[in-house]
Amino acid sequence: MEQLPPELVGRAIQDSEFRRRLLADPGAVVAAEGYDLNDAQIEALANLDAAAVDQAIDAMLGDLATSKWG
Amino acid sequence: MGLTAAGQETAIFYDRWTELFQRGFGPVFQAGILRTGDPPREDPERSVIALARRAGIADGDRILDAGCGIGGPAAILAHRYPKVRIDGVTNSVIQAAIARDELARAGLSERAVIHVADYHRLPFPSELFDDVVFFESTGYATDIDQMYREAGRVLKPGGRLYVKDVFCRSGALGAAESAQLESFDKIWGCVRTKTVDESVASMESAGMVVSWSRVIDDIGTALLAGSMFTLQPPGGLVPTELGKSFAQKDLDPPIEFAEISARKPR
Repeated sequence: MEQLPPELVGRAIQDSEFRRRLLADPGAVVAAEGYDLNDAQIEALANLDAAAVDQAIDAMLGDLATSKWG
Repeated sequence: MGLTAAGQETAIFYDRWTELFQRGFGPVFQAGILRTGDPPREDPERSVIALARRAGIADGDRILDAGCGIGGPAAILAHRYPKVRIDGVTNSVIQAAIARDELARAGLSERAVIHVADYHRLPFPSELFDDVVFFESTGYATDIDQMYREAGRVLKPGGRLYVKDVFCRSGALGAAESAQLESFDKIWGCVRTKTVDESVASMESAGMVVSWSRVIDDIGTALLAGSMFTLQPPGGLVPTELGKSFAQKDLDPPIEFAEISARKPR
């Protein structure tokens, strides 16, 4: 499994709108946001099921995902 | 000088968790990282340098990092400012050992020195430092009046005190908010998260002149979140070792990141 940059993962967890854009078109969003990801990392993002990720975040983090702390 | 009972509790917490924090956070143990650059990023090294600018640190200063962790900020500042001398204090012998090793490896041991000590009872003579900084460390204080009196004592006349921390938001808290804050403090080993208002009052009672205080807007915790979880196809959100121990579902404490700048009168 390709390790993704922690800040990118954190942004995807905390910001549902960013997550929606990222998972819909990871190559474009990563390029536009200036992240330096390799092809395997972009493919890993492309293989994520957005609805399943939403569910997992809600189930595992709940309010923590959007708190000032998390 | 020995540690207070609460200082020993903090030491136990960090002795237990420091190696995991180091794997998760790297050398800078701060939850809030300033977003710097274009596009803005949570870069710990740039964040520490930006905080140093806000603190008014100048090359050649003698600096005390009160609650220095594993010396990451000390190393960054010693690299950035080739004439500064930094003393860091931590309650944790584990943190001190790691910090000393890292600073030695970087060739910075002569200008960045780590002490196992309690910031309520600093092992330094009076009027030694140009700057005293607290980077996310005041939550471990049992007596902030004593902590700031000590900071004031070791500052030179005209010296600067700078605090960047997680603060409890001002105003009365409801029962649910108080419970959230209590959970937050317990998880992260804090004695009690302070408010900006009480911190300012405490600095003033210690004889400091507070120049300004403000909520920090250009700060984020994405690195923190991303150090606790990874994403795995197809829909997996997988906790890291750090996340397994420190991510608590629905934790939403009434906190804010803020900074306070003060000066010891001449």
